[in-house]
Amino acid sequence: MQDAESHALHARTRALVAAFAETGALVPDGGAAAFDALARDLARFQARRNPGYARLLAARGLTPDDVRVAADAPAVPTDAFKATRVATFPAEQATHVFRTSGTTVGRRGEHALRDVATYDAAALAFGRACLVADLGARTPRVLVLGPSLAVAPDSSLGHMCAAFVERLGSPAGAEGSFFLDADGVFDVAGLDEAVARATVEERPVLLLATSFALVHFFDLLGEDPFPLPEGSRVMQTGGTKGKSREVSADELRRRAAEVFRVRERAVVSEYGMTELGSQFYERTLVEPDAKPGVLAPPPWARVTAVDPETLAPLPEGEVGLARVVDLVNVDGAAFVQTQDRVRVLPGSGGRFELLGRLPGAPPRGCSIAVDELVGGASA
Amino acid sequence: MSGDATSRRAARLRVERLVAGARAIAAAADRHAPALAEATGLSREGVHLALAHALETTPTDGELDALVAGVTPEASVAVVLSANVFVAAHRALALALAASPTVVVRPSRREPLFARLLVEATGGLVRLDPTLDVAELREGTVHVYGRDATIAALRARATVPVLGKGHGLGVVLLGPSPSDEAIAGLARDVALFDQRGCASPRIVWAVDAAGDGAAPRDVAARLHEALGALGESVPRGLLDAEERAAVATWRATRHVVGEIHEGPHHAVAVGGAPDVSPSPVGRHVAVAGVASVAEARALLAPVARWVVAVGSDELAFADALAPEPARRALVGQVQRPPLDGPMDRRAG
Repeated sequence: MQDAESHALHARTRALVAAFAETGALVPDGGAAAFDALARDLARFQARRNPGYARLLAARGLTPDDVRVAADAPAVPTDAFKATRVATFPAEQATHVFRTSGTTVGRRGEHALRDVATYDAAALAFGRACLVADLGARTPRVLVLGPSLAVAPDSSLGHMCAAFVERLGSPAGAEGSFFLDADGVFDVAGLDEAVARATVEERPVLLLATSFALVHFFDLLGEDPFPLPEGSRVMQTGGTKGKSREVSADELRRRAAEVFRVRERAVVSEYGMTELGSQFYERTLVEPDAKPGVLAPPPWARVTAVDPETLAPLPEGEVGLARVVDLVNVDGAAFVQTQDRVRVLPGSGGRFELLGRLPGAPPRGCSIAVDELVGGASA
Repeated sequence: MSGDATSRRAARLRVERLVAGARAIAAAADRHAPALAEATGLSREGVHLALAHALETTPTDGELDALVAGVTPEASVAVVLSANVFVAAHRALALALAASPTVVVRPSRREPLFARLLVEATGGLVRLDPTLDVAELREGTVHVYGRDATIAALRARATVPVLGKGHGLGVVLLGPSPSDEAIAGLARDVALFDQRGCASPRIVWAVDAAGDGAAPRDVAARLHEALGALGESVPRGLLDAEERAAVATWRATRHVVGEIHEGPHHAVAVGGAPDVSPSPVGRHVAVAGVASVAEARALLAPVARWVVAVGSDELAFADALAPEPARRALVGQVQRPPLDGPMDRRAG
């Protein structure tokens, strides 16, 4: 990477990650001021390098220098990642391009990176802290109820899972850790064998899965359990709407605990998306008082609820769309506007509840709603 | 006169009575506009525009004959209007009356007024039943106008045949050099019903054979002017919370993607690759360039089943792009299909 400014910004984000890895403190080293200073510099950098982001600033009547703190910077809607390239560098410098899952309507969103090391360091540090920190010296076997990177090479989730297999688990090596093939068929026998091996080794399993993969897996098992070794845990991510029969988060947690014979608090939800570099987790495994359904941000990310109609920040406690400040996204968009509804819990250090997508009121008239179009075309 | 001819003649007379009723409502537009504006969210001027340009009050003999000839006679027809633009009640009832002398209509809960006005204006030709339950019908046919999910739910409950007429969208493909008249026509098509109609243009492409973006930029700038001028005489009505939220995200997205021309009652964006993501309702248009009709057709394929109308400044483009049975029209006429059009007979 030849870009000194980008390199320096990556280094600052990685310093935040390293400090967290060492201390485990969820508040960034230097507090909110350090976070805001880096967010400000990222906003200015991205406005200088990405004309689209500069236009978004200008539309709010702002120049890059007007951004003083993270809250000043407008956020790039996730839809923009489908419509244009959101990056600060030429396409040929990309080392990784993550893509959103496809529908038959519209294009897939793209998130290009030219320095994946920051992404990996952040994902590993917070994943370790939320998924395996309680195990101490015991190293889990990491198994994935999803496709390997060979099958889904542009999946950010696949990339993260592969990193977890390689770096959080033992024995190292991704081979034989993914149990969904290219046709969407589970390798139940392979998973059974891997679990048996972990059981013999008295090694807990960290099972990584999407919510809809879990639903399909449970349907496949019927009434049969699939016990994991003592101390095992399950990370589930994403919703089920449109991809499997719909199951509530509570029901999925209860069923996962039942099938895998783990504690309900050992079923941990993760929230992430292709457009982001950071992930958010429930802390039920590592904090005795942590409530299920409450997601914690890492020290390098911040979630704010915004008014859907104005995109202006709302006070803590109110329900709005999640606006994510993501300091890992140095070369993309550090300010991302999602369509997911959240409530940031007052006095919680930025923890939030995820409340699903913006509900659609019955449309007036008969022009088709976008959700109807997308849902129908992908059905 | 044979029995068939007699029943067709009777059917035509029923439709003519309905059209006369619609004509009477349109003639009294000043009286009805305030209530219709309140019910629909359109501005009063928007109601006037719809009554003047999208309510078919002067069908030709040939169109009426075609309408009657194109339907299957039924013992009775129940019409369920779950969500439509207001004047669509007219088309729905015309189709039902062409098929049967016994027609009952359940109006939209959100906008029941126009259906009631039509029922009153036709003097008992149609029965209004806001509590109609299709599950209780034992004969005849049900025509349901609404979302696919609504149609599926009613079909699951009904014991009689249900013809579903789902939501849709309009697509416009402009040729290399559209005239000012064509741009003004497109502006009117967009402004009608504040873009909430089944045929309202939600996707607008311009042929950009040179590939330099000049053609879509030119269309966007001129459409912005045309919508601005129209907005002065026909202001946009009210958008509901969900619509306003969609607009907020769309505007932010379009700033990142390219240029956006914003007016008090509309916005026109340009830039980025063409796709089939509809812009939000409320007079919002994203103009994108396509290299050719073939490219446009390929892009449209995944959503072809929802395309109700294709407009263009050159009918050859519309013909080449429109999937069956979508209507083809010159821009400016997209929202005024003849009463016998495929928009009325499409069923799913």
